[in-house]
Amino acid sequence: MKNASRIGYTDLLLSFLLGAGVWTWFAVFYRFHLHYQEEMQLFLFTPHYFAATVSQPGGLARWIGEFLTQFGIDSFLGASAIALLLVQMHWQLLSLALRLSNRPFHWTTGLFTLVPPLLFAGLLCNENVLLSGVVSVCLVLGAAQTVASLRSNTLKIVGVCLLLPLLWWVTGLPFDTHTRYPLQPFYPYTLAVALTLLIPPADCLLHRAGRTTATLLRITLPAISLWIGFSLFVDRDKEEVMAYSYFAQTGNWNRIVSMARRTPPNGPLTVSTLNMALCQTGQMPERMFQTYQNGPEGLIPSFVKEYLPCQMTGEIYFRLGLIGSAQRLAFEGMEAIPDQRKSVRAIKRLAETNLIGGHYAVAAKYIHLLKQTLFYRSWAVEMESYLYNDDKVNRHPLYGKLREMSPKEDFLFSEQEKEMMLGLLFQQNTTHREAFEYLLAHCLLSNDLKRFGEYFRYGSQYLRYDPLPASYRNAWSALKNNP
Amino acid sequence: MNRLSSYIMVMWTIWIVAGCSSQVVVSERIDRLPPIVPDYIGVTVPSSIAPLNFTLNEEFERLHLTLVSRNGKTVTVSGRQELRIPPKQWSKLLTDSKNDSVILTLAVQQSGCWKQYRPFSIHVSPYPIDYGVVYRLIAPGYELYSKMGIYERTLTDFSEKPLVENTQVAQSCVNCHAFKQTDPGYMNLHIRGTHGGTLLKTAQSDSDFEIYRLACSLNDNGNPVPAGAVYPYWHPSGEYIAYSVNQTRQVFHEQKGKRVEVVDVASDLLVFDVVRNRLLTSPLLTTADFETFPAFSPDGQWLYFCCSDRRELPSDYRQVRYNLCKIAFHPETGEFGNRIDTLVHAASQGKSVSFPRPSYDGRYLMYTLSDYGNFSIWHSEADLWLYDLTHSTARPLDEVNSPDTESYHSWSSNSRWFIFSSRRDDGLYTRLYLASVDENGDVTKPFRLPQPTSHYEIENLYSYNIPEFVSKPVAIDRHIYEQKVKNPDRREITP
Repeated sequence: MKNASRIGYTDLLLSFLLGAGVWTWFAVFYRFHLHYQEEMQLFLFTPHYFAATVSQPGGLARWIGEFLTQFGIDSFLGASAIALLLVQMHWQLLSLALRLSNRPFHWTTGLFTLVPPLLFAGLLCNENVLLSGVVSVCLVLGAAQTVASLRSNTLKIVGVCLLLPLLWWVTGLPFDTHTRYPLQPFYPYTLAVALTLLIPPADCLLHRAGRTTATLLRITLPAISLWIGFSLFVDRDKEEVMAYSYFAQTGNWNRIVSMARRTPPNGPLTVSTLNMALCQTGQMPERMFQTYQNGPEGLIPSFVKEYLPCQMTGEIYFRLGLIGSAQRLAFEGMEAIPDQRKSVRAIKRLAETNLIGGHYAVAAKYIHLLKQTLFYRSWAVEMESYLYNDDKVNRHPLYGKLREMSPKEDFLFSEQEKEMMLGLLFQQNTTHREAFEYLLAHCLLSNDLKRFGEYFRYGSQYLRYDPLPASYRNAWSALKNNP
Repeated sequence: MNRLSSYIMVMWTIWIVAGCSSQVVVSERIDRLPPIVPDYIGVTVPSSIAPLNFTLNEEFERLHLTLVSRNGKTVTVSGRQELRIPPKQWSKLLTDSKNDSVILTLAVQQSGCWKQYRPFSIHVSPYPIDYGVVYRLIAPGYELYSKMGIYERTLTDFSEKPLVENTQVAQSCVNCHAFKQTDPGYMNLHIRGTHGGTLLKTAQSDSDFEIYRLACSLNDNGNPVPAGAVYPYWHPSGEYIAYSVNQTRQVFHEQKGKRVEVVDVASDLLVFDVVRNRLLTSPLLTTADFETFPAFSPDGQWLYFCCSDRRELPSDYRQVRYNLCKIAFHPETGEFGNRIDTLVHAASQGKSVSFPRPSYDGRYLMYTLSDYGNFSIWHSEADLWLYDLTHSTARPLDEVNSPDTESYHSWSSNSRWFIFSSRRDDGLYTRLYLASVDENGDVTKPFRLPQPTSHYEIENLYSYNIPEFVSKPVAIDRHIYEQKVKNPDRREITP
């Protein structure tokens, strides 16, 4: 039996296993959720942002949560932040259980106190659950440890009375469920918090139960927590969409193509992102129909009032040179964020679109904001040199190309007439290969071979395909057979 | 000399050198005005305005500002990133310099040396300004909006408090706040969304305010179509409020330079009789043409508005041009005149009028002029014009216009100040500027609404909408607002 005042090696091992398991899960198997969380906030590392955030109920927890979330820009770092937080929770629970228990410490307590961290690890797999929720619980546990360390009961009562309002202010609990939908209750989180606070006294009660019963409960409950957390909140489909989104954002087209080879996408967001990747790598006419297609929606999806669809569809417009639409969707996606935060990804895209469009004053505004972040500062400083410098923008390998590809004459966006827009885009710049391929793809996906033929005849005056790619060959063959 | 004396001499020398390096010893005079941000050089301000904090648009290590009042009183301010003038001292300076100027001298430390710019002045107007302004804060977006709200900002300091925010009621939008000639005892506010309605507060109402559902419809090419009331304007008696009823669409440009086009595919005018709870209109105001932006004259005898020939929309959006018109209104009976007068035929000049706003002394009418359309905030060519109602002449307000958008505007209660929306800072985020008009119609250089720091507006990701002066604090209880909006009961008003 261990000394009741010491946490033993077994507990260290359990904490290590918890941390390693959580880290591995989020760093390797579920990393795109970290990138998603990271991009859906704009964390400014300034005194003003700190003051503005902590001046609201739950603000301190939110600030710490956002601070840690920003490390999700790198999955290893982001996973480390989560693992450290959950290990911290485990140690706090161990320490509290130790204080409350009158009996010698047993390794099953270490096991039992894994229940909340495992539940929260599962909860964090839901993209709407924020890290600030876990921070809040750690702050509450810290307050509980402080009160528990006070010697007399009178001091404890005074401590509780003083700390309760402070805790409400810094954590927002019990009213703030720390999700992306602040006005809606989220019972799994509320239950997890309640369970966490009950674990230390529950551990004491288990000592009074039969040894077999207590040991059985202490072993099975963590397993059940793991199962509940991960079966209820892990969403591999969403993880896949986030992966496509991440690689599109970072311009990693080959990764998208190889992902699709392993598991063909079948939703409009993933299919359209794959099509874009094929276009960017010059494979679209050849390989487009070797994968699943779901009509024109899988080429350029319609506007959906949600963050991620806006960003992913906006990426397509951006790469096509339809900078106005790319800008609009970046803005709309940011405005669609349920908890009304700003998105660093959207701000970065707005800086780019305004730079390309020559709206340097607005671009400067966004660049100024990004200079106050930890991980986008260097990019922002570099972008500053492009402000009011048309020549430099024109020489940029991406921005200069997109500026050249942008419409020369104005037209209005039409959700129902994307073919028309693509046609106008190509007509205004007959070297715009991507616009041409999208135009032809639109016709093929709409089963409009006649239009395909007309556009192809027009476009082939300017762009040569030798040999003719598979999809165009097949389309011509079908046209000949059904003139 | 003993060691103690030597020690004292050394310490004394160090102290003097350290002291000297913090003193401003100007080694060079720069014969130009400093490029300060915001540009407050030569502006005219009311004596009660909050401090005009600013920074310099050049590299520097330190700034040092000396302000001297008419009476010779001096205030000095220093800063490493910007200048924040102490409010109490600022207020005293302005009070001492009423109808005169405060002289400001800016010195800048660069590469360890102090250089001094040419002094400039800020004129202090003898005319007082109202207590504060009320505006909506909203991101300059497209279809979606996240957080927005109506806020009250005092002009004597930087305090801004929310009156209502859309976070209080899920999926709601708040807009079209209006007061009767700056009197917040009469207030209109539209609430859109699931809990939609029109909040009306009048001096006659027993409770704080009521929420109405105005059953409006408009003439869409001969077909009556239900539509919401927008663009409110109170009658000076407080017994009527004019609205336009609009069907609005948005379209989006692809080419750089333009972003959004907002068009009214149909619009009419009506007046709500707040006392007798009836909706009033005239066949002249509900034609197939587009009638919008009503505004009562200060004597309540006329209703100004904008009118455009009907066009096919959105295809012909560039041909929609509004003229400035008026029709008589008889407040005793609630009846309208039988003819429409055109004050400004903007269409014949290839222009379009929006937001007619008469001054409360009846002398002028300010409006926005753009190349076409009515949603001028998205038109960079939009400028403010001033119509002299006495001489029936109009002129552009070159003193305040910029190469970018000038749009919504409103008058102070004494008609000596006006506040307007401008996108001159960066072309997208609307900021508020104030300027004064004297008895002769001379308009002063505008100044941006002062903020606590010079970086405030750079980091602000919201635009200011519909700035309206208020002569005193707006008394609206947020909790009662939330309860009443969430309560489905509405006072129904049908034609």
